[in-house]
Amino acid sequence: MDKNRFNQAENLIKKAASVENKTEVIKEAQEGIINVELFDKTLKDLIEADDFIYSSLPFHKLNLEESKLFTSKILDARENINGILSDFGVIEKPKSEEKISDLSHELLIITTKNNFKKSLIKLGINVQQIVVAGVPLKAEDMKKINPKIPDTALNGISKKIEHVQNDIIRKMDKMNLKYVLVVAEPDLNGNILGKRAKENYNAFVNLEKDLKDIKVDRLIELILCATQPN
Amino acid sequence: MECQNYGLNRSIERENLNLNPLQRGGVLSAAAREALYDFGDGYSVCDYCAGRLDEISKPSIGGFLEDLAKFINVDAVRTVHGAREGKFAIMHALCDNGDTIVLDGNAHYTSHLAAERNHLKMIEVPSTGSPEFEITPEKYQETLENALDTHGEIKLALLTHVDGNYGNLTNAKKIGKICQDAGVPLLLNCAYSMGRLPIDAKDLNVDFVVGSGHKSMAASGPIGVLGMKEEWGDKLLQKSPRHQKKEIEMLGCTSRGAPIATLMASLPHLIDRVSKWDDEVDKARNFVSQMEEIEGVMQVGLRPTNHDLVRFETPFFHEIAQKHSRRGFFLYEELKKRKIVGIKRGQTEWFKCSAYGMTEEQVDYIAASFKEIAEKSGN
Ligand SMILES: Cc1ncc(COP(=O)(O)O)c(C=O)c1O
Repeated sequence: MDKNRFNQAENLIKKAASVENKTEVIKEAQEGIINVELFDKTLKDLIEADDFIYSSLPFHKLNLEESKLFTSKILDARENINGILSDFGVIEKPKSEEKISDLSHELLIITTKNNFKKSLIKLGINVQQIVVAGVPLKAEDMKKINPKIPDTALNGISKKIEHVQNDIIRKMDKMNLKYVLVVAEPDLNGNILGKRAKENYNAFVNLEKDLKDIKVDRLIELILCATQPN
Repeated sequence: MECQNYGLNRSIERENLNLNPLQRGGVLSAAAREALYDFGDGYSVCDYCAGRLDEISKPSIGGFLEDLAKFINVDAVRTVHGAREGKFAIMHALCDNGDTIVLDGNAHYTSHLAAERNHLKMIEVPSTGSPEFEITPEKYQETLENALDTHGEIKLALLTHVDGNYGNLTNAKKIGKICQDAGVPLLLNCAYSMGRLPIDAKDLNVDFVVGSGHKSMAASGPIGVLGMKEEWGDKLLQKSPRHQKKEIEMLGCTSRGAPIATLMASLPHLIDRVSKWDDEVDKARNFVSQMEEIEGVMQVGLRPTNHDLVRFETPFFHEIAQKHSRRGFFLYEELKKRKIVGIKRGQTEWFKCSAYGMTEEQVDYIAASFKEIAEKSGN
């Protein structure tokens, strides 16, 4: 396993350890919707942890490094399970999730990739308040990304662009959203999207690497920047 | 109707070190376990099929087959339901009822059955016999030439790359050249090699290779691999005149669902592990030398071994079994107590085993356990 994953594991464990240790109240389940994505992720985290069962045969004893990796997978799974349980009111939403959902209630987030969207949802952003723009926000911007793009392809993309624009407006209207935050990677696509969103919606633009691993604190910081201009 | 209790649970592989050579190479990679969860339902890979399994783009079976062809260096490749189905299809496409083929004396029973089902006669290349049971290129050449003299034409020769009894790795390249020079297409049965060690079909001078996904390629069964030189595509991949997209020998579609999804997911893992094959051989040799410290235990087959499957003759344990209160079961039971399985119950005269994929510590633990049992039971 690479060093990056190892560090990630270590951070997770630290994070978990810093969570206050209160007794959990289990409530009766309410009606709810299964978050299938979270459910699948949970199983896959457990499958990754399952690998250690084979590598540690026959006594299943893990050394320190292995223990950290193994437990980080279990912690990931636990976090997902908690998310599913809280969707049914069986346990309370984690504090950070509640805080994020609170702070972001007037915010629309535009991002460029589905896996960023997943990370944002996992941290507590309402899925309805996210738009994934796989294309720029204006057809002419496409020429900046790919100057040689044939007109036929451009026509197809224009349709998608129109769809994204409508989506943004519809969501802002319907949910009464006042602020827009762009989170994307610092590449050409991200830059062009950011500029246009600033121009069109006065968006707060944040371009940074490794967005799918964005942490709670950083997200809160960005929400505050976007929703409390000045 | 109420069903019986089928006892459908299995923890043997997750609780014990399993020495059964049959099981070692088919243990799934983590990626394959995830794929198994996603693709467990029936025709799971067929959502976006336009009539040809090998051309499905989501999941990219077409892309996978291209990569697989590179992995074993063949011009065309298909997945089949097992090495045996691959052998059967090749024989069926190339030979006619009553034809004679040549194969090695260490060939797997499934090679015999594939030939029998095609109504073919077999001429066997004898091995050198005990203790090495080697299939030599010289003997292969002699047998092939005699067969050609007697029958005029031999439409197919088969060589077992690594046999399942002794783990002998044959000199496929040399035998491939012999067959090539004699104008006889050679089918290399790589059930025990493809996915464990690097295979380069062109370098080995062979026309066909078959592999076994569940035996050596970290995939859920049943799945096999059939690779060929371009010139055989016309025969083997001939399309049905009536269903023009479907290949006749493949019966239209071969492996679909969990078997192919797990094989696809495991390919990166296989690419990585075949590059470490030399370490596996070192581990096997180290295991043999530790086992042979027990007097009355010796490895048979080629020495030093070139494969993880090793066969031991064990008169030492057999002698103990004659007097032991648990008779032949003592070895199995003593191993089981130490969470080691895979040696058949009651078998003490000889056994074959493999520690493929295990760590050095695990191998040392197994060897130490055998020694401990020998010491305890021998007194
Ligand atoms: C040498 C050899 N060939 C073929 C097979 C059969 O492979 P499959 O189950 O994929 O048909 C085996 C299985 O034990 C084998 O050892």
